[in-house]
Amino acid sequence: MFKFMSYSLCFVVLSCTPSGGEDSAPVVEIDRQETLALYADDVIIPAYETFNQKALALDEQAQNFCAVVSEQGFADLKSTWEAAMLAWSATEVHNFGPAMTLRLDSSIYFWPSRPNRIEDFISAGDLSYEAVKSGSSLIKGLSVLEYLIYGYKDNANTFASFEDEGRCTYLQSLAKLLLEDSASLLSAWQPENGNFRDEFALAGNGSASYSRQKQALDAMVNEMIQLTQTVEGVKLARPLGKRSSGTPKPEEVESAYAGISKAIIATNLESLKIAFQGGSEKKIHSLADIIASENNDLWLDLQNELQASELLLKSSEDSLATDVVLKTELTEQTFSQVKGLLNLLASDVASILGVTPTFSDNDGD
Amino acid sequence: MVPTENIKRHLTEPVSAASLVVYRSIFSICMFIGVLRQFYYGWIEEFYVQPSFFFSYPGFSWLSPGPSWFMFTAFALMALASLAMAVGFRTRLFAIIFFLLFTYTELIDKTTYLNHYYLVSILALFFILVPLQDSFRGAVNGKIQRFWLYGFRAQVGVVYFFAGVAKLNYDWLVLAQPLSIWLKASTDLAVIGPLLGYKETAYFASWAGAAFDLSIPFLLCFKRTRLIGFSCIVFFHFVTGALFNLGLFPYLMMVNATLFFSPAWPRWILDKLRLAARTSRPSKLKPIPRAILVFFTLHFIIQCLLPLRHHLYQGNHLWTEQGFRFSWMVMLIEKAGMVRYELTYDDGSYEMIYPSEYLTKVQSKMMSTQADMIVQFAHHLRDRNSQPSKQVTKVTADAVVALNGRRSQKMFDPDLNLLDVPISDAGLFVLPLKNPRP
Repeated sequence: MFKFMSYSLCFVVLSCTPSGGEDSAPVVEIDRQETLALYADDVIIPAYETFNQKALALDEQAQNFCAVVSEQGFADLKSTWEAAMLAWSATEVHNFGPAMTLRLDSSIYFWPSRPNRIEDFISAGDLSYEAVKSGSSLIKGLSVLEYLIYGYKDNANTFASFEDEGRCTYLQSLAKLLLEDSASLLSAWQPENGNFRDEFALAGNGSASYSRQKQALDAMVNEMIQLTQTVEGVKLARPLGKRSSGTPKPEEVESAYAGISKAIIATNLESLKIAFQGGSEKKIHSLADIIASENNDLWLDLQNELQASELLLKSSEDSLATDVVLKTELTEQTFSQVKGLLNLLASDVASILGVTPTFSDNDGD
Repeated sequence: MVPTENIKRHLTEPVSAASLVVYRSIFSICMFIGVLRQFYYGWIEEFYVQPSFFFSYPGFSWLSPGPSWFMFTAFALMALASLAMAVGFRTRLFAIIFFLLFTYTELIDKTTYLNHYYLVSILALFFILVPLQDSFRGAVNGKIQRFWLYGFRAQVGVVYFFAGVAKLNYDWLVLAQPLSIWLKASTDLAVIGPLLGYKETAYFASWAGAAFDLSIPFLLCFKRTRLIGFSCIVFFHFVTGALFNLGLFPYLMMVNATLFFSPAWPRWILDKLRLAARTSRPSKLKPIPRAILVFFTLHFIIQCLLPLRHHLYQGNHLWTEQGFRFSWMVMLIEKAGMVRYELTYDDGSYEMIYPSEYLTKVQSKMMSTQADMIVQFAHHLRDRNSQPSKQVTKVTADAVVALNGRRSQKMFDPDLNLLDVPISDAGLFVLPLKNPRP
């Protein structure tokens, strides 16, 4: 029996292993520890730094604007909000770790905003920083700032609303809290502070949060899948009317007041690409590198899907709310493209990496 | 003397009950720890309290989880029952309680199915039937017909053997999948980690794994090879336990292997430690009831047929998973998928549904690749119709699944009305696997 098994094993190993050249080298040349370190150092922390800088600019502009209410100040306020919103959109793909444990994700951005709840809060009178901080996600964060700055759709009325001192106080409180939240998030990851960086990058090597590298990689890839599903199922499918009767619902776009939904989605997709590549270009040890080493065609397909989705988003100057009504075909194409991207991520990529959703017992051997 | 008489005499011959008694205790301790893990990891909440929908087994839709307090109480009772069995207190009563509660929790939702949970249910049932004494010391010194010991051994042997037979497939042997995928994700392990990235390692592990499963029951059966078999078991299960999230399974299988030792082996240790009673009580063993004989005969016929039933269906069973559960198809597939539903109403309007918005993460992951659950959820969407003024006339699924490193492909025809598909035959409607190779 043993002889038979030994001969069989030798035969199989020799016959099934492709001979010569690169195939005889180890399949895994990519150190996944390096992948995690690259992701933390070159992708996550820089993204949170940018968001923190944009939140700082928004906070400063909120103070300046409220000190001297002016048309120019209002325009600057809008552009700083937009920059902060897009900077946040570039971090949504990293919504694991401190973003979840510190419950900062919903404090920073809870969407869709609820105008009634916001107006009720304003009417209640206490718009101080402390009141905002202790309030629910419905009365704080980027979406509430959007409502305050763009809410009336008519620029003149929105601008005029800030003559009410209360609204300015609220604006400043919101901006201050956003800055504080962005700083907390950044600090939680920074090696010199909370150092979640090491918890993540040293997964399986002394990390208390991730006892195996795979768990950290799972967390990362699961969030990439989650974000893509949100883009497809919420940010695109809802305004397209696919979640209801098939009739477009432009009012359900993400950034209904500021009208930057497409820019947000494009940023989400760009952040996915950066997450894969380990930066703006494909880097050694990146997730893209792992996928390409397993199946280069898969990586090429992923790139194509990402690129095509971004191109479609940029192919129209109009807002998403307009496009879902007037350029349905174009929006449908974008939707299909994102669907293709999600299929690749949730099936091909997840399968190649053996991604699991949460820690639980696996099947026996 | 005719051979059947010889067999009968051999099976009814009294042997020491010591090994079964010790096995019962260690098995029960494993179960106690297993139940504690359910509490510790929050799985009772996650698997039985949080979900709003459960993927019931055919014929068991009447089984539903109770409220939170009930589920926690059920698991607490299971822990208590396993402790009682471990110490030898009212063992039959507590074996009944443990078996019923454990099997109940396992039958609630298909997404929590694990082969070793199925094995636990069977072994717990055996403990209800086996006439072992309660008191640990008395039972160790008691006797039992060899038949009972062989029943347990046969069950353990069936698990290994059919797990080995299941590995004799193209993906496992020729592609070394899914081990290639899984081993590469474990290169961070100390000592052996660097080896796991090599394709050769995956091939070696695949073939060695199949050879191990197929040969272990026979190695354990014969005295000359038993020690080698047991050493292989300890090594194999320690390694797989370190590599994969297998919970208590590796340890349970190591404990199971002790059943193949001489029935009196614990007495040998107790004698050495001078803890055993000096004399065995004369034993008057009751004849094995005919009903028990019939039960075991039928049980093992079923055990041998169930793992082979997938041959009755067309298509690659790794892809369709038709005839997959309760067949000791262990660690054969790495699947990932994405499923979306489209509901069409009688007024012509439609609605897209993402199951992850209604299910837990684990449920969502498990159902997205398994045909019967995809169909089952489609039926549920019709039944839960969120728009009472309309009727759901059609539910289609855009289900994309990747198997064992292959590129993904559609699982169902996107125009197929899943309401016309019987849940238990879902695998028959699955589109053929297009790519034989990844």
